[in-house]
Amino acid sequence: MPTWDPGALRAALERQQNDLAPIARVLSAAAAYPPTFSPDDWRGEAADACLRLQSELRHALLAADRVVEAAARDTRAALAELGG
Amino acid sequence: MPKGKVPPSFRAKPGVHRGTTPDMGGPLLVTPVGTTAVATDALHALLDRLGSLGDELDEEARLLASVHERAAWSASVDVPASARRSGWELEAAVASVRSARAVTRRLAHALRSAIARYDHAESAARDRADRWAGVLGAESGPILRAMLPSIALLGGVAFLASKLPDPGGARASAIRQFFLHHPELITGPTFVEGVRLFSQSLDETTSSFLGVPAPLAVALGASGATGVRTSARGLLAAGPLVGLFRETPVKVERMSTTLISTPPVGAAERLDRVPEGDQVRIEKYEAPGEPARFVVYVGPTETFSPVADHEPWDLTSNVGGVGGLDVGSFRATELAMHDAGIGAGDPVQFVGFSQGGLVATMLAGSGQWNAAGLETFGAPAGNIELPEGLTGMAVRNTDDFIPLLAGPQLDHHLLQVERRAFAEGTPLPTYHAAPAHQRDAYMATATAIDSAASSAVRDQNAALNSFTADYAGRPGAVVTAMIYHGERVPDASTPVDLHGVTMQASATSSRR
Repeated sequence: MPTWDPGALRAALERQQNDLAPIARVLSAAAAYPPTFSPDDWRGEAADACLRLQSELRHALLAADRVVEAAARDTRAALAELGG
Repeated sequence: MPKGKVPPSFRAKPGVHRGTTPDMGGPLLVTPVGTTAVATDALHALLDRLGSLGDELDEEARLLASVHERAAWSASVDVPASARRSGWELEAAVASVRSARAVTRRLAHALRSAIARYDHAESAARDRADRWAGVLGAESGPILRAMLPSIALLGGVAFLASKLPDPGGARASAIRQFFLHHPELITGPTFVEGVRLFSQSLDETTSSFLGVPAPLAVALGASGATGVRTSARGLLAAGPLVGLFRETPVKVERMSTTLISTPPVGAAERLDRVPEGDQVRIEKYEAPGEPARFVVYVGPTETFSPVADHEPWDLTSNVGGVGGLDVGSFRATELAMHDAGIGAGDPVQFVGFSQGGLVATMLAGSGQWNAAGLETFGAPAGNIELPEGLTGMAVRNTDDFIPLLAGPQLDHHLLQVERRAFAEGTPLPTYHAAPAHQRDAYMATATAIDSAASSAVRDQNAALNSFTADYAGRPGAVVTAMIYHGERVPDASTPVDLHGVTMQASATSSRR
């Protein structure tokens, strides 16, 4: 089981925090504005399956956004705990 | 061009009806190059969005995996609990983003499949209707021949009635008013479908009328040996016997030459530059050290008289153009192009409305010019084969029957953009019997095109824009606009030897 030097751990967590920030922004935007189509634009039947997938995609994007946000939050918490 | 706005010159143009607005119409329908599947601009935009979202999710999953790889403390006991949790969460995030990526892919696939399924169903229904129309046409000969005396009698009565005195033009005015007050008679998808079926079955009907047995008439129609083009040429051959559809030599005169400062931006501005009265406008774009580029704008029909007088943009040119012959308006435009100094190798963008769109398509498909782009509005030109790699679009209102007079769209080398000018339930204006074919109806559609969301439309619009903007924006650039007026020379002693200028697109490529 590896052990961590507090300085090295802090540096690694800071890098993780910096790396996660742009990823979180992209996923947050995708979850806030998922691709949607209006039934008015649909020319034909068989739109139900697409509507279901559209709903599934919205949930998947929200889930991805939440878990990345949780990782970012815990990274911040770890840095706070390490102090300094 | 701001969203939903028409060009200022269109707003200021006197005598142009401006009652048709973009919000009266339906959604834009898009058929990308090389396909026959029609889908709304919004659906194409959604597919674009799903494509870019998929790429983004791929990239984010890759980055997250890399962050997770470096988070080697998940199993360490001597790190804060929150740090360990972040490692587990990163692992879950990678899976979560990959899952979202998979759903994105499935949704895009489902949308494409649904579009294709709808297209197949629509094509099958259309093919069935075409077959029935063909059979009906092939069987109609004996009935039409039996009706010939009655038709001739009715025609004679109508002819004599037209010769009766009509003080103050009351009778003509009453007929005109009737059609003006009933634009629904010839405007709308049902009538347009009727015109399409009529044009599709015209070859079988003509063959049957001439005594060809029904099975042979159907076979001839299916083989493409006959068709709208053949019928138009037949009309042009028979017409001169009674003084109609007589082709003549033409001449053009340059009416003005002016320096201009701005190129057109967007479909609405290009349509706005299509001339009327003087039928051809040519813009020459020159930039230091570069070969000149040209835009040729060709105007619509000026007269619907079947008797060729002085106007080349007439019914004779319409019929002959549909027949694929080098008619008066086509030859006059070529004369103007020669006068403007356009050489065979100079890149040219063609823009045309109605008959102008037909002439523009004939020029682009003739192989005689270096066609770089083509944009037509309401052109009866679906049977003209175009070269590959042409930039631009063919724009049609689906409640406008004029484009269908040339038969169905056979060529698929150009983006097709359609839109109903008057959506279901929208009151039709009564300023014209065929409002969906008027310039303002196409201006509304062009304005919608300038606000399109899909890359299929935006990319073509941008390519047409950049053809002129590239040069106009350079230091030392000179842009010259030349206006031409064409006239027929009816009394010329030299007979006109018409040539076919375009190829008919293969009937086998038709699924629409």
